[in-house]
Amino acid sequence: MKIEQMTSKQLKSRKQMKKFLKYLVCILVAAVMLFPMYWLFTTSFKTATNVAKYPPQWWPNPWTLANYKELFMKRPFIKYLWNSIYVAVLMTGGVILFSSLAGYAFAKIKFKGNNILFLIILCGMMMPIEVTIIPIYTALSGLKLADSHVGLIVAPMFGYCGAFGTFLMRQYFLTVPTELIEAGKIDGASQPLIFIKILLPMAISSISTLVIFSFLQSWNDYLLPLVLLSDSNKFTLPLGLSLLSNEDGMKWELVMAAATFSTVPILAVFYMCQQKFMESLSMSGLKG
Amino acid sequence: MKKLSCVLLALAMSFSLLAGCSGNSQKEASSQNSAENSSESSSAKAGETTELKIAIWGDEARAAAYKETLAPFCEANNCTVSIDLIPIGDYFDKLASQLGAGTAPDVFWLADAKEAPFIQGDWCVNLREKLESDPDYHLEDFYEDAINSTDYGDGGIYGVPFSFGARGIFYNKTLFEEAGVKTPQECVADGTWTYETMFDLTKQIHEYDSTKIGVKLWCVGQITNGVQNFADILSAYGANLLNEDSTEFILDSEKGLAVTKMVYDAIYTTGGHAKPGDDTAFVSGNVAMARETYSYMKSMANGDIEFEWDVVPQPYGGEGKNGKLYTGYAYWCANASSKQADLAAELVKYITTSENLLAWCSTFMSPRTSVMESDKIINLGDGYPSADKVKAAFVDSIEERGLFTYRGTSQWTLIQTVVEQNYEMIWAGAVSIEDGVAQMKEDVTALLD
Amino acid sequence: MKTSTEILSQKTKKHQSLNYRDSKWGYLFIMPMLLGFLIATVFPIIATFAYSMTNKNMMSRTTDFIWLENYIKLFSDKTFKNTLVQTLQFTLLLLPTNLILTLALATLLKDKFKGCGFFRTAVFTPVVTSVVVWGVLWKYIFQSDNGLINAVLRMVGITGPQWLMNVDLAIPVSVFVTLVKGLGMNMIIFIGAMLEVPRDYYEASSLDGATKIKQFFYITLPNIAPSIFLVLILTTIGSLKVFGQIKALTEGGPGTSSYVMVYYIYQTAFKNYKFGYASAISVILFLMIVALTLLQWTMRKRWVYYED
Repeated sequence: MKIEQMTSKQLKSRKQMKKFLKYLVCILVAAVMLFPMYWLFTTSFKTATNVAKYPPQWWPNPWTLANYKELFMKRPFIKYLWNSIYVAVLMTGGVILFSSLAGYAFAKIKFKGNNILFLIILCGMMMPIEVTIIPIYTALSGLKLADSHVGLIVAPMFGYCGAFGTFLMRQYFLTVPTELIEAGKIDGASQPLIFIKILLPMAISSISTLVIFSFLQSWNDYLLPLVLLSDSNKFTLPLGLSLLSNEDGMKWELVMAAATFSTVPILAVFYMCQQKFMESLSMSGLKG
Repeated sequence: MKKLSCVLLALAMSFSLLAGCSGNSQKEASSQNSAENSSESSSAKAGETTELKIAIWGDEARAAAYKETLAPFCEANNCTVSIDLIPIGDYFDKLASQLGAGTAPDVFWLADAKEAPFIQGDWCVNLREKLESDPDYHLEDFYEDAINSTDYGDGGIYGVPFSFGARGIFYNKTLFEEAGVKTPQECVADGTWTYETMFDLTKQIHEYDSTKIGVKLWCVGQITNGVQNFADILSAYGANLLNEDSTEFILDSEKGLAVTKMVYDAIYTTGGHAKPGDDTAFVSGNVAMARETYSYMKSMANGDIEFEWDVVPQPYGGEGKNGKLYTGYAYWCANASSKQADLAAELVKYITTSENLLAWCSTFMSPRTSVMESDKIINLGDGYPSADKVKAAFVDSIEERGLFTYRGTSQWTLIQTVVEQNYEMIWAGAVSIEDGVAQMKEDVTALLD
Repeated sequence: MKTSTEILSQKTKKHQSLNYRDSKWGYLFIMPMLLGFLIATVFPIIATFAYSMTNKNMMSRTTDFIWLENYIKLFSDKTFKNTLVQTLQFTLLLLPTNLILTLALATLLKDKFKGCGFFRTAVFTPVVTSVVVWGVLWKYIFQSDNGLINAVLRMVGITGPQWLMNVDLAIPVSVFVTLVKGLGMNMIIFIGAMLEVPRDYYEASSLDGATKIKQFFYITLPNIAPSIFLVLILTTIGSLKVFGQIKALTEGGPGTSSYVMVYYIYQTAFKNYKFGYASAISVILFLMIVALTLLQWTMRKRWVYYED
């Protein structure tokens, strides 16, 4: 039956059916995604013996803050948290700055070697870090920079994250009509001015994606800090988490607590940001 | 042209890096000889504090505790100590990369037959002279097998063992009583505690409640260590994975195959043994019997366990009581390529005196007679089994049956991996036991020295 | 009176000088990233190529050049061949499912509706979790006896298979876990791109009687083509380089049935200390990825708009 032929009542119920299905699918998907998170969250509030219980305790009984207390009072997780935060922020800042500049240039500025240089950067994403970590470590220890956060910030910034960022920004800037840039040039603006005043504000969505991506890469990175850092005062969260297991196995309840508080704040930030992020997109003055 | 010269420049840089690496390490090798002279003179310099770096696995609490233990040493030798923590799963990987880059700590731990490439690579100081020359150290107090286990042919002591021990069988008394099954302690009392009996008890528990695990032969956190986990049961029946000096694979003997089949049946046919990959902890109350270490008792007594538990020695094999029990060793080692190798060796000597090992014996059972015969190691206090039970399971069993360990080889980590992988193929039912063991033999033999 | 050629050459010169000024900025803008990149990434890659022709052992004090010996050894390495095949299997399973599911999810969740923020965050949650923790959680869920899935199946009377101890299931299960983890990231890239497509296009087309499906294929897809290309390349590279999931979930097991390239490289370098050999394997992987990416790059001219 074509839409025009349906009665308004049938239209309404069809619409409701669609809505119901939509919500059903959303809920199912959300359940699969959220279940491990739920498990993580609830286990972090269980006592040590209840963690291993079978059948598993779906709802902690009793709820206890002992695990968090242990992490923050008896173990230096505040320090690890701070290290993780400032390394991630610095790395992300650097990536945004350098990638958006480079991405724009690759997308819109004609210069010799544009394509070749871009492909070289693209290739940088292709060698697994598990093997390049050793030359990087050797070089850094030669420079006496091994046991510091410098390597943690610089290596991904000019490595996988930087390459990804450049790629992402380039792809975005390709969709910007050249007329806009030409208009700026006619008005006498130089390239840096065009970049800062016109293009950067437009690229908010891609930049937000890049922020999320780079921040998470740094936040959850385990291998780089493991190889580069020795002093446990400099450890980031993932390393701190791995110290919770020794020859007697893993302390599940503490691991879950550490994992929860490395995850939940970011989720909260994401939840708040994605509203603004979507809002800014629908307001972008260029299209429609 | 420009591009070509850039590429050449880069190549030149990388080659010089390589040359630099081998150059550096050669420098370090020669400094190994002069280390003794230079550090002696450096520590003699008045007012100059040297810093010793130690790498251990564990957590911050353990690091702090070691710092306390080492405080008198630091005062006496005018030095400070910094302790690096490396997660146990990545310990050897990281240590190897540090040694290769020349940034390794002055003192480190080695363990479980993985020490072979480190010792054979001349990375550890030979401590024999230093330890023998000091009568107050009582080198003879150490169990002979233990102290000589780092001797790879030249009579040296490259690491002092500080942790060893046979496993015991922990069992859930409450569960046994509920199920009305004879407890292991009772079997020990009337002399029927064999592996057959143990698997029979497993079957009975499994029939009583199929959601409970009857027995778990792999220790907590070590489900992926086929070499260690089955060492005891193989030895009890006169079989083993490798021969005494690790030059031959012998699991494919008749007894070896029979034992493998026994374990396979316990997992799949009669059921009751934990499935591979299942790491349900004994503390959960869902495991009737578990093979665990001495230090596991600490985690049992710390939690609020809701059931009664007890500990017995490992079962005997069908051949009678002549199967040796398996142990691994963990060692304190001094870095031979360190600029302070002599001071590092002094530290190792200090931390492994009878007094200090005794101080740590509730965490690490140490192979010194003075430690093993002390009261401290069996009188653990409230919440633990009584002293005589602890003694029977962990001390007397060693005396009665003796211990064996696996001699490391240069590719031991890979051997462990390969053994594990082949066991997995057998457990996964992808190959028959005979084929699986045959493949294991092929893979392992290719890696033996 | 200037001839037409003279006027033309004057214009070309002005055009050229404008371009010159532009290209100066071009180089300047890319300079920080490029320079840092050469030092932090290109140099280690070249070093890896160099190491692949040596017998470097993590703990040996000397290293010798053995030229192509490592590569020759690779030819007869059975594990290497299996690993290669398994890595490709992993990629071929992951790539299409990821692409289709993320496009579907993006379409579902791009418009504002009650609870969309919650659902978007839900899909994004696995992305935020660390790979290790995620893998360990799912390892517990997939456990043979008391894992969640088999426990639920047992309630309905089915005995579930040993998910992670089965040579045929190890890779599919790993793909599933990796898939669920990565959907969120690609989804937001697509949502971002979809929201940029001007509304008028949709309005105009629905006036012409186009169905939602037709709109999707003829308006949405072409307009987000650069993003699709981006996600395609990223997912290819990511799945060929997968490591953390495998390490946490199956450790390459049972046996070597879920060995992937990077896991094999890691084992060889860090557990067996054979760094030279591991570098050779990495070089092969690198060349594979470069080849595949270049392939996709050259094909893009056919179906991606907005590129000059």
